Amino acid sequence: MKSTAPIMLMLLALFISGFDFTKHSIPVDEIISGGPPKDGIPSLTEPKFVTAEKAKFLKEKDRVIGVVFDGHAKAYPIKILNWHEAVNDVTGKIKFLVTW
Amino acid sequence: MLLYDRQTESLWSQIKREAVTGPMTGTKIKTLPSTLTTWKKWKKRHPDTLVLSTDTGYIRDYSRDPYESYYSSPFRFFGFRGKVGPELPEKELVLGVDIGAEKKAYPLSVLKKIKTPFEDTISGQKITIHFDSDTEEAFATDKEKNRVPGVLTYWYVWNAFHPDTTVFKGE
Repeated sequence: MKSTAPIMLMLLALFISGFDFTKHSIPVDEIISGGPPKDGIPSLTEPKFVTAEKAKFLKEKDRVIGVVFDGHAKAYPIKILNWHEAVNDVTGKIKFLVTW
Repeated sequence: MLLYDRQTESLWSQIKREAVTGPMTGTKIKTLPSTLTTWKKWKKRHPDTLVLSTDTGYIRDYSRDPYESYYSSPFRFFGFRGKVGPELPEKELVLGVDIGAEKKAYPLSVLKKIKTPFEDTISGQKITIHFDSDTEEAFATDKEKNRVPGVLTYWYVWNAFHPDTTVFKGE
């Protein structure tokens, strides 16, 4: 009975999340759902941008994650990242992910 | 927080910067320099900056912060099972730096009280710690003035991932 318990837990985790945990480096029974289902917090894959002048939704005190690649500056407002957590983006030849 | 990739459906840990389940398990992610600061400061530094648009294709109330009560409460995120050392209050913000084997947490409460930037040593490497009390922007750079990987997070989060971390106490 003792030896089957972890296997049962693994199957349960697989069933819940839909992800294959066969290969793993952390205890999979400690991976728990935060509530929203898969893609419930949707990442952005085709982000659109506006100029600083047009970003009226931002207040001076709002926080942003800023990057500069190839001399091009881009800002990712935390108030948007809170709802998506990940933005897949590209600047010139650099493909990158911004996560929060 | 875990993210998945659409090609292999591996799960990736944000703080560990590597995949922790699935075919990509153990694969590290390359970190690129970024800054967490205020819009005022960023705009001033980069007037030509582009800004991620609220036109995301999704209907969300971007004026509302879904985590508001989490910031102000003394409590951890629900479901947290890690151990937390008594060195700092659990929700104290720290700059966590891990280059090489050594990990170090720089509490923002300490950085606010001392003169910055200042030099420190981690894993035998000289680094400089920068802090701006206006924006709470905190980061570390190496001898070549390049940013070294670091994360701004709560003490309990940093300590759960790095039980062997030391805590910077000031001079």
